[in-house]
Formats: sequence, C-alpha cells, structure tokens
Amino acid sequence: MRLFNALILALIAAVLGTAAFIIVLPVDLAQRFIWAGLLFPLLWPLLIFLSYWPRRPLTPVLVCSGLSLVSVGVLILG
Amino acid sequence: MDQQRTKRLLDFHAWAGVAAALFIYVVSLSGVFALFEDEFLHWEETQVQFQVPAHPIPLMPLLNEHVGALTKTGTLTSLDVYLPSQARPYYRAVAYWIPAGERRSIKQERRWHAKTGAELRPHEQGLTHWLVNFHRNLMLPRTLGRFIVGLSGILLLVSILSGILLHRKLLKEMFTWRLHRSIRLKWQDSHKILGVWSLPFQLMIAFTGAWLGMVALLLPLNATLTGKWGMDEIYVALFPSTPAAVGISHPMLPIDEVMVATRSHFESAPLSISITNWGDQSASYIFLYEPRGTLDGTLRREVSAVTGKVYEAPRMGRSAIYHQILRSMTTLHYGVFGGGWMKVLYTVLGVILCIIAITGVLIWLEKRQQGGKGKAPKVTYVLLGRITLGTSMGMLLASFSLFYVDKLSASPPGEKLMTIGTAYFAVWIAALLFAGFSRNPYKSTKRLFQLTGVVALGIPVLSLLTSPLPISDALQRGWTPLASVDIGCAIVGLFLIGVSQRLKMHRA
Repeated sequence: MRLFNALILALIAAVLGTAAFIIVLPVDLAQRFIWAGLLFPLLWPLLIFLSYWPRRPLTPVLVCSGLSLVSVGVLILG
Repeated sequence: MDQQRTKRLLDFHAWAGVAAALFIYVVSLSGVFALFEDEFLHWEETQVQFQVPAHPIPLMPLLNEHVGALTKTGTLTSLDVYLPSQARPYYRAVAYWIPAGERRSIKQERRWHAKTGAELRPHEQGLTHWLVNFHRNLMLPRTLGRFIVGLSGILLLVSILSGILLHRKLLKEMFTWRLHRSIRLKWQDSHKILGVWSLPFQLMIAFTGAWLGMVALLLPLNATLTGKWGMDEIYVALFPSTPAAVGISHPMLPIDEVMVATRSHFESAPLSISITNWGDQSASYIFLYEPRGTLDGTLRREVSAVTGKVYEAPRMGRSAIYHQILRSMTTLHYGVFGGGWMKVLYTVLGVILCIIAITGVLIWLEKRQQGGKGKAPKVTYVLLGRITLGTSMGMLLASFSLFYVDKLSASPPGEKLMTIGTAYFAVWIAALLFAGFSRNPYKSTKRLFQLTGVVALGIPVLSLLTSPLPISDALQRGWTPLASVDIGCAIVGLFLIGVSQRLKMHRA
C-alpha cells in the first residue's frame, strides 16, 4: 500500500496539485507557472516521503487521493 | 519518534537509497565533468588554442558581412554574439534565420579568430558535447532525457529528507569518523559525516537539478491540465521579448564604438551581446555580463543601436523577482557565480555526493553479506557489489578514456560523436565485466583505481604529444584553460593512484 502510494499516487497528486495551484494562485500568468514549477519538485518528494511517515498505511493513500480529487475539482470548476 | 516509525524510515531510506544510488552517482559524476565545459572545449579544439589578443579585431565589419549574407536570402530573427574569452578566444555569432520561402528558422553559427578575423572551421561535436550532454539529458531526446535526469534530483531530495529525520544527532555525527574500526563503521561514519557537512549543497543541487530537469515537461503538461491558456500565450508571458521592429530602416552604430562609449556605465566587459531588430530604428544591443557575486544569471544592459542611448530600465520585462529566481536556478546549479574556485568547490562537493551514494550501497550490502540481514542468497549481494564497483569505477574510467578517443581516433566526418559514444559504453561495459568476473573484488577495485589513475595521469602527456606546437613551446604557454585540464587530470590521476596504494587486496 505504502509502495503503491509512493510510486503512483504521490506522482498523480503532485501533478494535479501543481496544476490546481496554477488555477487558484491570484497572480499574473507568468507568476502562476513559475511558482507552480518551483512547487512541483518540492511537493513530489514530500508526498513520496509522506507515504512512510504516518502509522497507518491508509493515511497517505487518503491524503494523496484527497489532494488529487480536490485538484481535479479545482481544474474542472476553475 | 516511535520505534516502528524509525524502523520504517530506516528501511525506506535504505531501499530508496539503494534503488537510486547508482543513478544518482551517474548523474552526479557526469555533472562534475559538465562543470568544465569551456575548459574541455578549449582542450579538445586545437585551432582555438591561442591567447585572447590585447586588442581584438573590430567586430562590426564581420557582423555586417554575416548579416548581409543572411538577409540577402532570408529573414534574420535573432543574433547573439559571444565575445572572446580565455577559454573561447574567438568571436562567435549565433543567428536564427528563416530562409526565403521557408517557415521555420535555422540556427547558423560562425566563428572568427579574434586577432586576424579569419573564419574558424566549424567544430565537430565530440568529447565535450558527450560529457556535458550526458549530464544534461543522458544523450536521449532532450525533454525525455532531462526529465530522467531531473528524476535523480527528486530521488536525492527524498533520500535527504528521510536521512535528516533518521539522523537527529546531526551535531554529534558531524564529528564522528571512526576510520580504524570495522569496515561497516568506517563506511557508515563516512556516509554520515560527508552527508551532514555537505547537506546545504546537496539540497540545493537536488532541488535545482530536479527543477531544471522537470520544467520542460511540466510546462506543457500544466498547460494541458489547466486547459485555459495556450503554449504560445504562456511563452509570451514567461519570456517577454524586446519590442518588435517598427519597419523604418536605420544604419546601426558600430558595435565596437558603442562598447567603448558605454564602458564607463558598466562594471566590466560583457560576455556576449544580443542584437535585436538589426537595421531597424528600434534596434538595440543588449550586453550580458558574467554573474560574478550574484545569482542572477544574466546581468544585462541595453543600449540603442541607433542613438547609443543607454536604457536605464531594460525594455524587456524580465527583472521581476520571479524571473530572477528562474535565472538563479542555472547559476546555482552550475556554480557560475563564483569563478574558478567555485568550480573546484563544486567538484569536491559533487565527488562527495558520489561517495555518499556509493557508501550508502556498500553499507546496505555489508549489513546483508556480513551482518546476517536480508533474505536473498549471498550470491545476489556479491553480484550487486560487483555491479556497484563496475558501474562507479567504469564510468570514471570511460570518461577519462574519451580524451584519448577524441585525440587519437580517426573517425570519418560526422561520425565523431558516434565513435565517442561507442567508446564510452565499450570501456564502461568492459569495466563492469572485469568487476563482475574477477574472483577477488578487493583486487579488482584496486586494479580499477590504478588503471583509472594511470589513464587520467596520461592525459597531460597525450595533450603534449598531440599539440601542434613543439613540446618546449607547449610547456611555456603558462596558465591556460588547456593547462587547467592537464593539471586537473594529473591531480585526479595521482589521487586515484594514491588511493589504490592504500586499498588492500583482501578483506582486513
């Protein structure tokens, strides 16, 4: 479960989270893409690491899935 | 932190490290070579091994002739001129030009001797191109290659993060190096002490590397996912260009005179000049300076190429903080903000990262081979150890071997890079096979160190023998980029031979 989260879900959540970040950031177009570009290499390793931090293996799965779902929502509605 | 979590993190750090160590090693070692792009280029190309003249030939007549030839048969879209430097003592003009009837622009590069103005022969890519681009994109298609290299930055960040949280007695570990105890303790202490002392550098290089690798793929991916902006719109926002040509022809002020007239306004001599809207009333010369002492990679000053007026604020809006952050990524990653000594420091820290990666694998293997940990048959760990040795030493040996291939091979025109690549992997695979089939891994380690040392030590000799100058003249040239490469290789060679002398033939 943790390995699946680290290899697959963390990447999906990081990609979607970064794209959603571009939508919600209240700055001009260039800044949106620049700050999101800087966020991605921080968010992805953090989510991979997070896969092994919580005691329950389900927690990181819920965090990554939740982040992905919220991001998809933002991308659709935004 | 509870015990279970510590164990889980330890396992994660160990497995993530082992899975990524050789990959990180390859990217890091190739990065050390990539730092010396200018010096290697100078070493590689005999026709440019001359001193920068005190009074270079005027640039404007060369450019007039070049631009005239291009505009006669097409449209000039951009022109950058690189001024003579110690490592590249010639004028280099890089133009993008759309031939009449075509739609896509073509890159055109020409070089002129800074003293005589004679055009230099085009240089066929070889040693330097391989060493530098193996780090940038593993010689794969650009975007894919960069992404894979960027992945090593992500993996390094993950390893660093888990390493920091595991080793919470950082202060104590900074000063604990038990070199006379067991092999495992020696490696463990080396891994920790080197990791802790170089932590800020490793964090910086991992983050900037990950960003530089991922950004080319991330930009179109984000554009697609958000679905609100087209790539053209994003590019215009991210990279604003100078104002467009107004369509009124006007003669250009001679670039050499503008450089002399504006010297008092600027801090130092420029590295290169970007020329926009050639021959138009809105034409300008944008002087770019070396980022000494600053992280902003492109210090620039803009001067009108028609009136000679210095623009106080650049007309191209790239001075905002976020643009500066972007530019600082490359400056930080390649250490170009600090001159020659910064390169030496980056080399040492890059080599330290290689040692951290390899000692990490060795600790993991030692725990399984000697400490009873791990369930796989012993032969698996022996094989993994040999692959680690063959990969790490083989890559170093292959990199130094390329200097010989570059100078001594007689490949047909257009096939030099292929010869270089074939030789690189042939040497690397040979080292892997030698490490894999050798009965005594301690002996093969010692032999590979010795061989790599001798190969590196032989590079200055090769350089002298292949120099077009008589040996006595070549020895009297003083400190040049050529000498930096020769002396650097000799030092590395001596160091490797010295290390090999201390290595034992059997386990102590």
